Amino acid sequence: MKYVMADISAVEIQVLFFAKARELCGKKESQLLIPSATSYDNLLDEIVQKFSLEPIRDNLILAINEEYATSESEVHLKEGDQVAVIPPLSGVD
Amino acid sequence: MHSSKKNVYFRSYQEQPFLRLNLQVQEEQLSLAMDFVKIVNSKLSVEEISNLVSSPSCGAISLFVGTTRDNFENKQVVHLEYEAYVPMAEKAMKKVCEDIRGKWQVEHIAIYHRLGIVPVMEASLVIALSSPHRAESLQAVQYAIDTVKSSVPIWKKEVYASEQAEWKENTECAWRTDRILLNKIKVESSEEIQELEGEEEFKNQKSHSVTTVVPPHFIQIKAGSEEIARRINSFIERKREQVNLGNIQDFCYHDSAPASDSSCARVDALLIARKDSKSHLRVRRVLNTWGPQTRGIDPGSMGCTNPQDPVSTLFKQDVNDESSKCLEDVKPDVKDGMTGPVGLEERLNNAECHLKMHGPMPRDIYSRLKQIENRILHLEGLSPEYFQFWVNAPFKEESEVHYRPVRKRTYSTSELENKLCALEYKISMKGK
Repeated sequence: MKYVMADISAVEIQVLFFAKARELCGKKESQLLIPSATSYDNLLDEIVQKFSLEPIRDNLILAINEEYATSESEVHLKEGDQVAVIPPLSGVD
Repeated sequence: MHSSKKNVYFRSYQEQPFLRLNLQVQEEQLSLAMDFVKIVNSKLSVEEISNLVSSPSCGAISLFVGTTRDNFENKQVVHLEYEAYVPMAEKAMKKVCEDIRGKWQVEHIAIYHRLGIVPVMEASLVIALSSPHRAESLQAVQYAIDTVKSSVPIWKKEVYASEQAEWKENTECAWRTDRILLNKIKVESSEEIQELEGEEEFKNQKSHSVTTVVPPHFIQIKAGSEEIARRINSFIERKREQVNLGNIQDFCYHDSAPASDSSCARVDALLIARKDSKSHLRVRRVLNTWGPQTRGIDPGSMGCTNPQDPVSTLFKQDVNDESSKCLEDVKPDVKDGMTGPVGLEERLNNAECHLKMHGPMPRDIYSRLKQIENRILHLEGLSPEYFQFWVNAPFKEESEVHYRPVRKRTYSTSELENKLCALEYKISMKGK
């Protein structure tokens, strides 16, 4: 049987949640299927929608493979990439 | 001390051993500058961490210890809970070390952060820096804590005694809630807001509240806060001096030597001539430097060639030629220049007589009125109480049946005498 890839451009990434994001979504991590070449805003929208993070949508920043990403950056994802959902930081006072 | 294998890097949160570098060091050979970056789950020991960075060649160790405070905005804090994106946090802390080394000459750096529950008064973060002299380590430790707060993905949850727990947000964080809201407001009203003001407010990182945005046309004076404080202070001082001068003038140092001999009063009534007034009362005058009369566009004034449209005079460039012709044509007799309604001339004459103005009168009605006004002001300056304190005519004659409009009047002595006699007569009549 031939194994056919349904959608070549989509990849499965790992999404990590922290702090408030974790509380809203209920889990520490999850998986997401997403097109490999996309924009930052698109990726954010997908994540917010799928994991019900609307209340803090504007106060999030994403970190892709442990690097902060910004609205302007182009996003190229590979299979198994790690995207972290980062709410506003609050280290020690 | 014996030589030991030191793990310079850390064990990651997920318990996967992740040793990037094993360094065999001997105490004597410790000349390599080290970065000790670690995230732990247990209580931090300040002394141990300080010892990590100590070195024979260093004369200074600067420490920062962040501890749990028992209150926030009047709410009692039970403990803090820390959570981190560990791999990235460690990366970020390493980056802070690199940044520091780029700016200052320091020997060793240690940044330790504790995760999980940190009770009140216990340390959640310890930063230690050693350097040969104190200046570098002191500055670097300041930089370190500021940068850690703004870039390291660690979150703190405050658990209160009696309220809902909250995830805190650092002021330095670029995507904290308040700052995003502020940006939203700016974007929505962006036509009104100037770029410069937006930047200045964005730099106000110490503020914890959302700053309101003011439309530019409301702002009259733009200056730095020190400048404004200076201006306000000098204004206050100037006014204080004026008041002081006035008080001194009123109450001190007057030359009434005889009075001071015979009286024990500390202050005395004194006549001080005021500007524009011949009495003790201060009189205010309005000087109208730009108006219809001064610009010669009164319908009746000489410079005006078209009484129907006084404004057209403004735009006539050769007014001089026109008006000089007019002057020659007009006869010196005042009455010929008058085109007012019947009785106007007579009324003006009455007023001028009453005010004892007998000199030559100007030609046009507006100048005459101006002269009458000046005369009244002059008399007011002489004795303002005459004009200010009498609202009604003091004596109403009973023979007058119809309503008399209330107006200010002054009575000459003879008139007053007449009225007094009339009253006396009536009373004596009634008595009979």
